[in-house]
Amino acid sequence: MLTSDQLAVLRQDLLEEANISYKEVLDELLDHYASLTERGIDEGYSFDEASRKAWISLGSGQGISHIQERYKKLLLKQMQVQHWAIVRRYFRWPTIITTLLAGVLAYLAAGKVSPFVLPVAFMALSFFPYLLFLPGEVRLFWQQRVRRHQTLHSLRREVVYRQARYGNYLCLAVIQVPALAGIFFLNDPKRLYLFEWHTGLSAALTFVAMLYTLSYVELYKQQSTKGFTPV
Amino acid sequence: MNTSSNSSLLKGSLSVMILRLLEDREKMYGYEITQKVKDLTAGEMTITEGALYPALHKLEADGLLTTETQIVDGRTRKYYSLTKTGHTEAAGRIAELAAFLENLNLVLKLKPSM
Repeated sequence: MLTSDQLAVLRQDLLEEANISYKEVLDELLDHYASLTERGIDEGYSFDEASRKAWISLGSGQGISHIQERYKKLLLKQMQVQHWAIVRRYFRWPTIITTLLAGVLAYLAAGKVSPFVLPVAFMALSFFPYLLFLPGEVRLFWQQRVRRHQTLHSLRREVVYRQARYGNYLCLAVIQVPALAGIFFLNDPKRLYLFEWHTGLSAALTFVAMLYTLSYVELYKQQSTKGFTPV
Repeated sequence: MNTSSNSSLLKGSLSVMILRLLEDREKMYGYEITQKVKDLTAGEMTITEGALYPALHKLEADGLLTTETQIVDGRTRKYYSLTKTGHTEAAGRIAELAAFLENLNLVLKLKPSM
């Protein structure tokens, strides 16, 4: 069995030499690295020799770092699949009834409110997912900067956070690009200001933003139960 | 056995091997899997960590494996075990690979025609 000082040395190797930056990956690889080192010690090697052999066996810095990259890519892909599955569920029976009602509600609201309110609501809905991460960010800031604790991000949390970028794309496609196109090509931004065109279109856009936000919140809930806490 | 040719042959069957080992045991961790394969094949076959972990993570992402962690000797150990779907899938994939190997064997043992 390795001492806590020896484990700290192996942990440092993974953090500094292989740039392991996520808790899940670090825990798993540290256990493997430590098990290989323990076997070397049992075979009669010193800790330094055994850990060096173990490091090479693990694939050295680049090989180990590659394991983390592949895991991240896999989770990113999995998150997209799961998010899309949630969206598709909204269009299956009987949930589709609620979805349609939300669409009708968006249409009725679009006719009643001033044209200024809808784009603001659209942007608020698109960027809402980032707010879910605020408590965790504050906690992380507190641990790292105030309490000076070395903390690692959770890979799962990072991947779910990356999924929130689709809100940026929505804003880019619906608000920024049409506004820029209006300025450069028509000298009248309002001509391409999508929310100025038709009540039906405004309602449809707001509905898309609602759908995105609700499905994201559901994805966030699903994933956070699997562990998000940085340690 | 040549290690490089071994690893290319292993590529397609690694996930089935993992499923088979987990069928046999309730739960296993990464290092334990590599050692078990080494022991079973008397050191002829080795699974590299660079191949093992992506395969384990993929099986977990596909919902065939589930994980739990325990603190062992001062460090966190991640155990993998088969899910219900994993048990069903394991049986199917093992049978498929066994049938493939049987056919491959027939071809490899082909006697030269006179």
